[in-house]
Amino acid sequence: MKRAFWRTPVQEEVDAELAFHLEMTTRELMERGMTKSQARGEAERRFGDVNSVNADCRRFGDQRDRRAERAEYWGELRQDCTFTLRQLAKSRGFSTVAILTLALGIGATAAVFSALDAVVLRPLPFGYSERIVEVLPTRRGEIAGASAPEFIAHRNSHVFEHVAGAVLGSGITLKFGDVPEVMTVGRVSSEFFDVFNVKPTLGRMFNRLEDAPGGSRVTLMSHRLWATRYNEDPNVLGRPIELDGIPHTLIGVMPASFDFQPEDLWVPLALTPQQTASYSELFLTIFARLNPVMSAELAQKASTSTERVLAERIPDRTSPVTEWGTNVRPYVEELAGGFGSRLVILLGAVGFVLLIACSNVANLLLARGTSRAKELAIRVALGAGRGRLIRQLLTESLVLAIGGAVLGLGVAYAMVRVIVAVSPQGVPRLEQAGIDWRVLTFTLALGVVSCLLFGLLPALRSVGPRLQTTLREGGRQSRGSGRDPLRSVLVATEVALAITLLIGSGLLIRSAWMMQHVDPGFDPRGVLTARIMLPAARYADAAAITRTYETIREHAAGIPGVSSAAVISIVPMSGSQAASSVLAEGHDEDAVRPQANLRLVGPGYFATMASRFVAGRDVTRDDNASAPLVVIVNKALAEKLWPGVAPRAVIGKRLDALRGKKSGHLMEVVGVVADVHEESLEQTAKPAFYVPIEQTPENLWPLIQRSLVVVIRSANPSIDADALVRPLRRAVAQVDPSLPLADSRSMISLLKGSLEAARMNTILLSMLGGIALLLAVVGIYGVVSYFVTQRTHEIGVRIALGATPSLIWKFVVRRGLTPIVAGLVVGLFLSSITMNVLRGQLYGVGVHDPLTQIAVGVLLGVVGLLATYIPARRAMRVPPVVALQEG
Amino acid sequence: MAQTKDRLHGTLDALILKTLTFGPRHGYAIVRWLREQTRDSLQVEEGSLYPALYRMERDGWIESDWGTSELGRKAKFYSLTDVGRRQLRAQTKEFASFVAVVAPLLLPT
Repeated sequence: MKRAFWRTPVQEEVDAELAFHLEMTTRELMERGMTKSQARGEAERRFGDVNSVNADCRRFGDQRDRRAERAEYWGELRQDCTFTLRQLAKSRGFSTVAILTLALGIGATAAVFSALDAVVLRPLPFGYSERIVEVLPTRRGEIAGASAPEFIAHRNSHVFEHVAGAVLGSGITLKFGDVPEVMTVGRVSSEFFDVFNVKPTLGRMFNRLEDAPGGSRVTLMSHRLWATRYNEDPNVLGRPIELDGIPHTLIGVMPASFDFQPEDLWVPLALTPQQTASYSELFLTIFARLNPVMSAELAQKASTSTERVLAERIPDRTSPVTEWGTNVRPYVEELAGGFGSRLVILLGAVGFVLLIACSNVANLLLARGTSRAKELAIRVALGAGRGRLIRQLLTESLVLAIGGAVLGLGVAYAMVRVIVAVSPQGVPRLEQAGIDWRVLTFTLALGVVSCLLFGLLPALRSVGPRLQTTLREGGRQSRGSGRDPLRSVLVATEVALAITLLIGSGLLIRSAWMMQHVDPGFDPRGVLTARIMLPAARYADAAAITRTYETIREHAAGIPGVSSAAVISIVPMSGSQAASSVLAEGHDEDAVRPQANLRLVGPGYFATMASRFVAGRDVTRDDNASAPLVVIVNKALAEKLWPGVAPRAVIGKRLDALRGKKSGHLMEVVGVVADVHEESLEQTAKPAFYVPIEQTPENLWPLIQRSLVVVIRSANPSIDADALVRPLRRAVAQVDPSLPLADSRSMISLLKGSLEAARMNTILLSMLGGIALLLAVVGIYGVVSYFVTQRTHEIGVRIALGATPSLIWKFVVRRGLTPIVAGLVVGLFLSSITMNVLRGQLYGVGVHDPLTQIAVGVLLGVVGLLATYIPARRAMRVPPVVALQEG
Repeated sequence: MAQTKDRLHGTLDALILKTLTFGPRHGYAIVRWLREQTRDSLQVEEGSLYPALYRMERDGWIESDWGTSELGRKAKFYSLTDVGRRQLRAQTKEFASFVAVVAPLLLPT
């Protein structure tokens, strides 16, 4: 490039060139006989507008210079890169360790980001999905279900753009040929799809007329069901479909983007006049789309007043108006549930691993910088600027970082699979986690950031003012380079971060262990559960329903190898819930009533589950519709309603639930059972009451879709209960061949499923803790062994002067021990303030569990000492001759 | 209309490049050479030459260097680059085909 020779400003260049031209023309014209002023005038006339020409030239000239600079920059970068690649190829060990370390850190971080992105960050595939909210009515801040009048009040309030009521996730029988199968159905009001801003890919949505009692029976289908069962046949529209034995017309198919919803079918909610008048049936979920100008907070305020205006009008209201309110939650957060926060914790943890990886590489670079000091000094002496050198060193870091990022993508790919594999089932959109351009961008950005993190300090350090000295000393490192405090600080940081991670995973492992030893309140071995739903068409009244279930129970109990069978509305750990408020006889009717889990139970259930009775008896077939009302409570409810009363004394007490105070039907407690963990092992058992199925209020059956769970226990506890599914299906078919079995799961697998959520972070955090430990150990080893190499001469002299091996040992080990101890102290402090994020995930162990802290401290101390031991042993064996040779 | 302007524009570029095939020249020398070759019949504003030179230099068709003129003055000499040589060939070809298409219409024999 010739540019370097006339690095004059463009302005001067243009002025000089144009002046030269005018002068030459003037001279030529004068030679032809013009006077000087005539010639000058003619020259300018021929030239045209000097100013505009000048401006154009300057503009092009500036562009030319900028291009040249850029070309120069890229040229130098290419030079640096080729140089770097040559350098890295020369020291293959260094490059491999550095790139692998970075790949581990970057890859793990990218993987967790990928999962977090898929589940939480990425907007739903519908326009303005951030405006979709759930509106949850509350009483005294506690979330309650929504009644139909509440839904209608919100729909009429204009607080939201669209408001929909829905009953999601219920089962429905769909017949394929002769085989009945249970599908998941959503009963939704006509605005439901407007809230999500989604339209059918095929056909149409239902209209307001169809969403009313007596409207024509229509249904929408998910893309998933359409694809798996109908081969995406476009002619399905208008086809009759039999749902629960009732013919429906298929009017539309939803797009594939809506498949993240678990529902297979949607039918109109069609609220009946009774429902729209009932304030006590809390069966709806309200979804809404925020007005563009409304925030969720504002909408919560506005909808709270909607609730209170409505409450004013309720004649037999049990709680004061001021206790009514709403909770408006963004749907995306609701969708991710607790999984989102687990992922955020995980992201923090992988961030720690990345930091450790970076400080490890920084450490390597520092070591390399000292051994390269001579090369750098020569380059400075040859005229390379410091800025240019720093740039070159950073280029080196960048090449490492990008190498790490590219390899990290492979790590991320593998690790995303691990995350998906250990995640609890049914996390929405998790299956979409993968390496897409968002993750790619994130990974590259991570690479650049980590390059600055690990590269800048060593680069500045290498080009520091000590370079000249290095040259003068002929490249021999006589300055106390082994004593570089920066390196020890880096190792201390690594140790501190590793300790924090290890304590985190230690706490999770401890709580997993504690959970394994929790008594669930039943014996899951050899127990199979399966849900049955009786279609309304053929099982209309309560008597028919209970009679059918009794027949089914008898057939199930008759299966060879089955020791007992029973029915209940909801089995533990199945994720379903039903609760009701209860009132003990004689208690203040206006006080807040405690909530308790409600179960409808048939005779023999507790025996089948091997649950213990604390007092009293089980329900029997004699506790029928005409007998006095009875109820069984668990220990937690007994203590809540009658604190301080012995279980035996609770028998015979009476309580009110389900029927409303005006009816005055009180249920007499006939039994107290031991607490059963209903939701998960880590959650303490909630108060619960069990109502005999034959005494179930008639209006409850349609609400639970006439559905109960059959529970059978094998006589042989070690048998895999899943083997009983086929015999059970046959037994049920003998009673009614059109009845499908839904959710047939062994109690063991339900129990495992409830541990899944906790398992994920336990496994992943332990993995990360292990990686962190490994990296920290590599760091400690690096520092100590580098120290030994740098001080071989000095150690030799010491040995020659009579230092004993134990003195040398102390001399070296102190080098490794100082950062370990400093890191331990800082790490314990750091973990004591960060562990609070795990509080919600721990069971039976505190966030400051001293046992975990001591165990982790000892582990790190021992492993750290081992890492110093190897180089220290080398130091003790330095022959004194070395001192003489190198002197 | 725009096409005509482009063509004139491209023609000036080609003429400048052609001039430089005989060796490095400064701006004034290019103008003189063009005038002499066309016997004064090509009447362009001399000034418009310079933006063209700067533009072509920016695009890497030509490069410049300060040198000494015949009269011992400092002047900026332009010379052709490989890119510029290729550019000239392409533009000459284009011009030839333009003439081949237009000539039979405008110059009936």
